[in-house]
Amino acid sequence: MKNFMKEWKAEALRIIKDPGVLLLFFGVQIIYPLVYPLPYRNDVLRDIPIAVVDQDRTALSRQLVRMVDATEAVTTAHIFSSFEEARNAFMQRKISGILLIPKDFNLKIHQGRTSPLALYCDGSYFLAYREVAMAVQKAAGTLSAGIEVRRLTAGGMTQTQAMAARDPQPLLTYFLFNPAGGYSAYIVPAVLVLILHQTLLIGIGMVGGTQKEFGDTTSQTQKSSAISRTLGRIFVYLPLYGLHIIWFFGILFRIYRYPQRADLGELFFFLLPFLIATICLALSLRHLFKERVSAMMALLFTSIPILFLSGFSWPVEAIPEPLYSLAQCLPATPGIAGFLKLNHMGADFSTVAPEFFQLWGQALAYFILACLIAKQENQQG
Amino acid sequence: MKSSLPRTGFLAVMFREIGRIARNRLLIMVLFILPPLAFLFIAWFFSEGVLRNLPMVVLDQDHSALSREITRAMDASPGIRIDHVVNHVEEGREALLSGEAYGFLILPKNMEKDIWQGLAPRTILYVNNTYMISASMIMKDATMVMQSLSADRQIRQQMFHGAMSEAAMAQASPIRVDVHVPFNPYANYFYFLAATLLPTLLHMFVITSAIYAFGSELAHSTASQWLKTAGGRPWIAITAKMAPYTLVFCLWGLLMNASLFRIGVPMEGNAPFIRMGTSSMILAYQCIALFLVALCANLRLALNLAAFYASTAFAFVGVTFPAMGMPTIARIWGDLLPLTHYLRLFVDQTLRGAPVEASMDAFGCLWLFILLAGGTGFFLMPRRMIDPDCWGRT
Repeated sequence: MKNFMKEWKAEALRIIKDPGVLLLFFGVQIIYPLVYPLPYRNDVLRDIPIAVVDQDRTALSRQLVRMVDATEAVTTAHIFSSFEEARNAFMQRKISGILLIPKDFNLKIHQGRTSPLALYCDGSYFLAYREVAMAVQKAAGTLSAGIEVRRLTAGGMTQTQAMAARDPQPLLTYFLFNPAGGYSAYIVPAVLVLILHQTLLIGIGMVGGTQKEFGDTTSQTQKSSAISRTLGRIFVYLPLYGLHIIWFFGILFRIYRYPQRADLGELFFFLLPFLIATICLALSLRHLFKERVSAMMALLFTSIPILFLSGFSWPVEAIPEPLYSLAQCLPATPGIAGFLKLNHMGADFSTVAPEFFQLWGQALAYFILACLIAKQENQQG
Repeated sequence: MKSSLPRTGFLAVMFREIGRIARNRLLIMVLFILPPLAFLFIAWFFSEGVLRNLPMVVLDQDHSALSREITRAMDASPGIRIDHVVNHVEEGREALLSGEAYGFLILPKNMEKDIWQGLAPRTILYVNNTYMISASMIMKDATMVMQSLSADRQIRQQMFHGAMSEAAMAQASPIRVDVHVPFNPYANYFYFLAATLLPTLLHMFVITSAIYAFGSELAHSTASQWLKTAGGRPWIAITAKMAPYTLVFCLWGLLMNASLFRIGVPMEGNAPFIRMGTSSMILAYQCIALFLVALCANLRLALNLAAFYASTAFAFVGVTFPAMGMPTIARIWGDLLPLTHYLRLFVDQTLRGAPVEASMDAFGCLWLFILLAGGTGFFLMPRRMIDPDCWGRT
């Protein structure tokens, strides 16, 4: 117990005396959550500018343009008379799509034939492409349905019959758990969990690198056992990151009005093994870093691969099997997956049991590893 | 051999730097080991290419020929795989919550009968929008399956009533939208992600290694020796020091582009121009590193700033969420990142096949960074080099 307190104090002093490390353990957690959601503040794409090339110039074509313009996602920024002009505007990134209404648009419809519209989308920006294609198809579909129902009722059907005849089997799609399709609520919570993971790895690595590069001014002369040393260090970071959890998921989530379907206690309980596993992994890695800045330089780029490996943006099914298995060793993988299930989908705790036990398994394995390494450190003197 | 090397001047500083790199594990890692590892990771990660066969569950309450046909057609569509058939709603909900399935389709009771009676029974699809990419994929494919099935049936019905086939088709949908994606004919999310992730990872290595190269001279109090090797000329000291890094990263950049085209990113524009863009992006980040070190005169602080600058970049460059949807302040921050301009240039020249003139603004912005950040750096750095107060700070 005495050794535990000593080691605890030594590690705490290493942090408090070091402004660089303090920034990683206190600054990042305050600044990143304020900065990172900024791009997504509007949440969904609205009024994406597209150009219309109206070669038909009839009441019907104008009605279509109005209907496209009225959609939430798209605004018809320019009406061009030639396709070439629209193409130039596209190349200058002024518009994200071109809707071409051909000359005989109105005529064909009056003749009872199918009248094709051409929509040229910018496939290079996926989200914009999806929104534009969906909005234009929806507007054209509504207009088309109106014409069809008129034709059918003209043929003697009632309105209801006509509706059923043109769409005999409607498909209703419900988006669960993030119904508005908000991009911010989609991406930021996962990134917050990742921030906990990465700042622990880099921060603890920086403490280790500083010890190696400059010698340890706070080290105790008397050696403590590997277990009490590891435990002492763990209990410096655990309460600190407990506070970060409250700040992230108790306070920030409310400010940002993100979906909260799990109570804080439940999240805390789930993230406890996540924190222990991450801290122990970081304690095991810290001896690899020989310089103060090593951890930052070596680990900075890992955030993006880890985020992708966690399977929330790119579906797990499409990740190569060996890579995915490898990712199971990282606390972030089950940590993010389980967190999203609990918090976004409001799953029962039993649903995240696999992730929960995986995290405890990692915590145990990395704890043993950290102890072994601490022991070696003792032997080296 | 050693005596033939110049003691001062450009080559002397360059050889001194190569020696420093060779003795430093960290630099060797960031220059030679991490970039190929990161590239291999991305290439492997996206090697499946298009998304296929995302799991969905079905609750079939109708047990009719039609409901089985729908289930089969869903399973056959490229984006969807029917993982299994569930027996009640609760089971479907469980499958969604546990992540076993991204979609849950309910085919209602008496569906087939109701369709023939013209009651338009509703089929319900739940998708888990926590996973937005999978959710939109499933929705798109399921909608297409239902539309083509119901269009088939409509045409059959009307042809049965004697209408001609073309007319029947027109009856089914008077207006048809043909979506062309001329500027990325593959419309493949993978190209888009791989093409943006590789430079994003590369720029992290470029900026951190440059910060370390300049900053460690101050931190380890070797700046005066550095300047002496350059014959007292800071201009030579800085450029010669950077040269090996620029060379190595430009080679990585070329390799990165080549491998992107090799795995299938369409190359519709001007290849030499892209290469110039990649090198300019690398130079721009090295100039920013010089600027940050000169400004902070502190390796650790400069590195922290660079880390913040580089690690938030991916959100602001406008690839995950397009710049036009961002609030002004986010857009301004995005414009302050050379990566944003480089990716614009890259997308213009690869996926969109834009003429070189259309990307000149992005190219100009990269050089603006080089001139402004580099210029300020060149102006400030010489004082830091000779000021012992700036040495040894950690």
